[in-house]
Amino acid sequence: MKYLRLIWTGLWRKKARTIFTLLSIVVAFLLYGMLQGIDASFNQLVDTGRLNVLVTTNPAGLPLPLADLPRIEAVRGVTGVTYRALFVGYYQQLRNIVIALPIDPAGFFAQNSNFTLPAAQLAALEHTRTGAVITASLAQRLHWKLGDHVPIRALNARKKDGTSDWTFDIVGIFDIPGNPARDESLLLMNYPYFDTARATDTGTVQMFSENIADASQAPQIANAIDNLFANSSSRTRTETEKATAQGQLAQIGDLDFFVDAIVGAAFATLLLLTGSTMMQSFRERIREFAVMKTLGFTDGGIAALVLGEAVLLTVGAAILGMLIARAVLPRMSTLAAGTIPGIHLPLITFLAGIGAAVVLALISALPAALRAQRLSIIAALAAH
Amino acid sequence: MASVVSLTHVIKRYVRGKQSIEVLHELDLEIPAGQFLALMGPSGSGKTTLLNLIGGLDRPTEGDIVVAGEHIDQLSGGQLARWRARHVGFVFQFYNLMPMLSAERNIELPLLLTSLSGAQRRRNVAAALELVGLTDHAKHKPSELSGGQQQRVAIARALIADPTLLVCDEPTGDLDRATAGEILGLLQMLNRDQGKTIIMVTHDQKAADYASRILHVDKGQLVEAGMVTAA
Repeated sequence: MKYLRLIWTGLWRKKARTIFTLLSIVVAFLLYGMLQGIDASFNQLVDTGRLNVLVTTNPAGLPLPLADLPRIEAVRGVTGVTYRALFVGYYQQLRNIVIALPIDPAGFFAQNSNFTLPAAQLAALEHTRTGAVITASLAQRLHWKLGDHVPIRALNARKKDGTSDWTFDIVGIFDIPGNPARDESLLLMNYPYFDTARATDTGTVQMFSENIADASQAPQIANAIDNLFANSSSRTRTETEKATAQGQLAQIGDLDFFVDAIVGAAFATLLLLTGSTMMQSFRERIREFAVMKTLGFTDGGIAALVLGEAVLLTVGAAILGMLIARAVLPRMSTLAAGTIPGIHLPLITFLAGIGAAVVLALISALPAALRAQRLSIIAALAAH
Repeated sequence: MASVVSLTHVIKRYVRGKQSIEVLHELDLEIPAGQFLALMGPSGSGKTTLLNLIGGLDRPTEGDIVVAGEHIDQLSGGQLARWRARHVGFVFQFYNLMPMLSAERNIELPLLLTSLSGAQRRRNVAAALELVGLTDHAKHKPSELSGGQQQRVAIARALIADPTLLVCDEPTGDLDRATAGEILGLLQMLNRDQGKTIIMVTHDQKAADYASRILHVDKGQLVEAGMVTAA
């Protein structure tokens, strides 16, 4: 601890250089935090995908007729079916994006038992045509409360009256413990209200979601559902919820590879930059290090001071960069219109970032530290 | 009086390319505790080399060097560094202070290598600052001090760990006559009142006159110039 002041002072010998190096490291770790945060959120989405729930969509992303529901319900092994459409709009300003799912409340909450909504509020949703239930985070963000009558301007659903303004009555607030979508701006509304009022695609849904009794039978049941519509105009693709999440992730490409490649390139550049800065700083202080050795600092002690400076600078800047990423990431979910729910920087990724910063610092400062260690007092005092 | 420094048949050679240059030729030297020794001689005579050997900054090619009871020519690099921290205080011609540290932080540097607490270190630094008359300049950086004041800080730094030996390489070489007199007076006071053993390299006869003993180094050999009665 007593050497900290010495390390800190050495670091700020050239203020401008240190600030520029610090900013470079902050930016590199901001990039690391953002990309790893997005990657981790996608992976978490896949992890929360269930194997005993199947998802039926159109392979081309087109809507499916709700009229297909009874045929799916009749498939052997299917114990329950629910469905949903997608409504995207905003409240007052475009930055207040709201992702809404038109659902059949009873079926949806039966299948998603991890969604906690008081029974009275579920009943209120079922009995109020314009009723809506929202996540606690949405209520907090837009200052909505039970009983509020809120207007939302749709971005993807024009009404039959030619307008895009929809109104909802907030009748419930729910939570999704342990789910990445917990902190998202999610609104659930009655499908009939949505379907009867919209101008296009009436009678269709975005997906069906089937409960199955035996997860090991998932491939056979999925085939059975898809075979029902193999020769129809609305073909289907059915797979487990987990496989659907993996498929959505795969559409983006090999995200892990891209993230690793970009972060790797940023860190490699950082390594060269920090290494060059540390070497330059060492050269400027050769005489000072020689004097310190004269006073009794050991070779190893001087090398440790050089490494300590690099670690303090790199880790400090890395923490700053990752804290900025941690603050910015949740906002990205909103910008992504809810397609990536719950983007955040997991603690383990944050800690891994600190570990990476320590390794980067040690590697980049190693040449300077070794030269400081081998520095000959006599030669240094005579030459500098 | 017992010798603090004892050199026996010390030879120092430097190798430059294919050439081996013998800078010190079989030197023998005894420096008793409490002596103020001035080493004089022309440039290249080997006086700084001798000082570096005594201060444990360099190693002899041959011969034995015993300082404060330790055969320093047999110590490893790490042991030698720790020995220097405990037994030797260095004062340089160009002060060699850390430009980013205040006077008190410069003086504190050698104490960082000890087990003293922060409070103890601060007390010792305050006492050293008072000894060299710079209490009011504790927070000043070297660039805010005159040459004489910087050298006083360097002397305080050299003294702070209470070393056995004070090694001074041209301590007044960069100072005007009046300031040099003040610094030499300070060194003399430390020798007289605190019994510090001081070895000082100088070109200046007037500076050497402050010492209690003067030795000339000429072509790598020592020539006794005599004992001086301190002024």
